Amino acid sequence: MADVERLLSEYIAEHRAGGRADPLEYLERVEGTDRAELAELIDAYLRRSPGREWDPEAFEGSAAERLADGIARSLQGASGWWPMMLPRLRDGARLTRGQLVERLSAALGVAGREEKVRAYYHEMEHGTLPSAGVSQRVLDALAEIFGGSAETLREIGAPLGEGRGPAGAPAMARVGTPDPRYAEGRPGAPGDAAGEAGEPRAEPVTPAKERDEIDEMFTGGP
Amino acid sequence: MPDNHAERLSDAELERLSSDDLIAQIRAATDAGRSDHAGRALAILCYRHLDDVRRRISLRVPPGDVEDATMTVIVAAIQSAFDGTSIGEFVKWLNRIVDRRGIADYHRRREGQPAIDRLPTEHVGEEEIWGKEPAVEDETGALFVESVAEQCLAALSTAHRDVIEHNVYSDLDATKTAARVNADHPDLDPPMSNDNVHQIVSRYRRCVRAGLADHDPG
Repeated sequence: MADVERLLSEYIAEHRAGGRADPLEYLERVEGTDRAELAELIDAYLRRSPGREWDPEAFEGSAAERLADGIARSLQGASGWWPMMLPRLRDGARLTRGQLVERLSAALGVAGREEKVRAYYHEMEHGTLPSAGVSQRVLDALAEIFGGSAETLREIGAPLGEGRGPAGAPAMARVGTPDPRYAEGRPGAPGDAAGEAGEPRAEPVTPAKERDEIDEMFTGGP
Repeated sequence: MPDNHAERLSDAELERLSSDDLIAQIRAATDAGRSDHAGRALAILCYRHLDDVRRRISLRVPPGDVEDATMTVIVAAIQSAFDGTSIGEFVKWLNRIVDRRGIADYHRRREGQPAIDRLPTEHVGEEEIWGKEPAVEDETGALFVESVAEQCLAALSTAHRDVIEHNVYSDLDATKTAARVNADHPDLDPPMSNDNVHQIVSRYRRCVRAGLADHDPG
């Protein structure tokens, strides 16, 4: 027990000093019940932590900045939590955006016209495509690809203005560090040609008189 | 807390806000269309909590899953604040979502697969459990694992709880702990002594170890 007490004290000291304070490094030093107890006590200590003091320089380029940017994009956009969720769902499905678009196009019966599907899907990931206009058929296809529920996709796409969060938003969240293998075209990634984060699209992809079934599926609603 | 959440606050002013007030600031600024104001408050909120949530998550999931689960937990907590599920209790909600996964068997039997209770969030490919994160106290056995330390604490008197908070979780020595407790509980008779502190802490830790042993699935 003495080891546990000493290690907890050392852990608290490192945490308070702003060090890495990685619990695993401390757990490595004990075994069995001691390790379980130390894990429990460190966890209880961290539960009481007020959190880190703001440091704008350390924030720059950090995981916290990426997280805050993603949430901000969702809060400001026309597609609810889609900008947070869709890229992560795509990561989870181990698909690049190109692969996703190819499968989506096939599922929608528009294989060979991937460029237009890509443009719309791109807007979904950026929060610039109003979610209300995206048809059930598109959501069904995406749900099939991701392995989930179209209803949940619909819910998490509801705009968040005026504090209206969708009930199921985090249920599909996979928001960790993006896997670079699937980061192609990710919002904010190099080469990303999207408009400003969260700015709803100003112009339709296709003028009204030239609208086709792809436009209808992505902007025509249910 | 400022009267007008949409008002632009400096970083220093935002840093002084509680997490609940930061959430209120983000909500008001978002509703007012002031994304720039919301963004800074959101930045401070994420920065404040990310590292400690990551540390707590690292006690629960394999290393390769820590980052993803950490982000998921924070987004879930912020979403709950926005849909009204957890207004006024952001940190409590954040902790509850982390707690839902008890300190895993992963760190008790590391050679085996972690038999952990995964969040619905992590079942992306399983439709029947795509659902909202728990809105009430956990209905599963997972809760007992997280709360062994808290359960042992809850069983103590207020003065004895303060001993644990000061001596174990604030790492004060026995003399300072006793002094603090005696100052906060002037009616204690007899007053708290160093020996009392050691005895209370020792009993507490035996309680924690016994609780962990009782719930060890191995």
